[in-house]
Amino acid sequence: MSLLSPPVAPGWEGLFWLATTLALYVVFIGLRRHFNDSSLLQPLLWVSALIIAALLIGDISLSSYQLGGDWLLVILGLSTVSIGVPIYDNLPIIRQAAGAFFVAMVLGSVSAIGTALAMAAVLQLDPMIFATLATKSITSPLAFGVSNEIGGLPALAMGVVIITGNFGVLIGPRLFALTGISDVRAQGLAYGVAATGIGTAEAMRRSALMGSFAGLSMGLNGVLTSLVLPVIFSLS
Amino acid sequence: MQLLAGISLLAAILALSEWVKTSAAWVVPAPVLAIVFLVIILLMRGAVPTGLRRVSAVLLRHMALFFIPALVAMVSLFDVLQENIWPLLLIIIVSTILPLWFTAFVFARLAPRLDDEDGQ
Repeated sequence: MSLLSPPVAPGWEGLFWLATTLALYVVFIGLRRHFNDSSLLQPLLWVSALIIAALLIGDISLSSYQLGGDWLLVILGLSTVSIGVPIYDNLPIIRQAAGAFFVAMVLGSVSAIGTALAMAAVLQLDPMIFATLATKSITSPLAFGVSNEIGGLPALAMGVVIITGNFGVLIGPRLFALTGISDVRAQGLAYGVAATGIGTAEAMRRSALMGSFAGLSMGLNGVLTSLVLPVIFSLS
Repeated sequence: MQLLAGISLLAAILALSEWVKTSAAWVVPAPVLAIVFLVIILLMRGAVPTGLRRVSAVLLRHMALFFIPALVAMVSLFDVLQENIWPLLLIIIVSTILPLWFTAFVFARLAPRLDDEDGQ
């Protein structure tokens, strides 16, 4: 699945789903604001859940939804490029912390893959699932290819990356409050490594500085992990 | 006009990265490449054009909206997910909480303090 397949004319079905998605998103933005920015009210999670429920109940095919949904994925591409703007704005701050950034990113990434693989080994999961879990902190367009290369299931890899992202965003604010980590740079960096694209979206919403750290760590970590994993898996 | 110029610039950069990606067969995905290109262009120009600034502000604030179709597409994964759902969920929960905290912790320990501490 390419994130950027060219859209075909959506027809009434596609437009209906496009309108529904936008309307529900607006409703949940309002709800979240009403409930003091509660992290439980992630519009992404709830809107997707409602639409999935509608598709299942109405026995409607995913491709019908995608006639409209693909348009949003095209904008996701443009939105991803825009991450360059806050990164440019915050370059002096990023440069000043470059060493800490790199060390924390690498250690964080190793801890993510390490815990996932150790647990998969203990639980004696299928080798295919094992290889799939290794790609969980790689941003989804990359995870797809890498998973294929190291013998995982690409479709499942995308799913794991997305569930990971949602869970990270759900738990993040509470976790940082609990552990007393208030540095927005540290939070952004962590979202980028542990929750990739969805984490970056959330960080971006909170502040441009947090978002730029998230975007940078997501991109850099994704590329580095993609280069390292196939080598490790070919050795074992 | 400025807004349109901003959107065109983003689309053009994305197009360029997709092209580089397909012709150079790199591991770097097009969106990551595009971010790098945009930063280089902004560095050369020395400032963010007004239109691009306004477009990117909207796109970034609502990035979650554009992820919805990707999440909805998970409906096609139900079969694969169902077989291993409990071990997978357990692993995802632990291996998300730990690095989320650990990455932030290491950075907060090592990084020089931010000049304006509240940053927010």
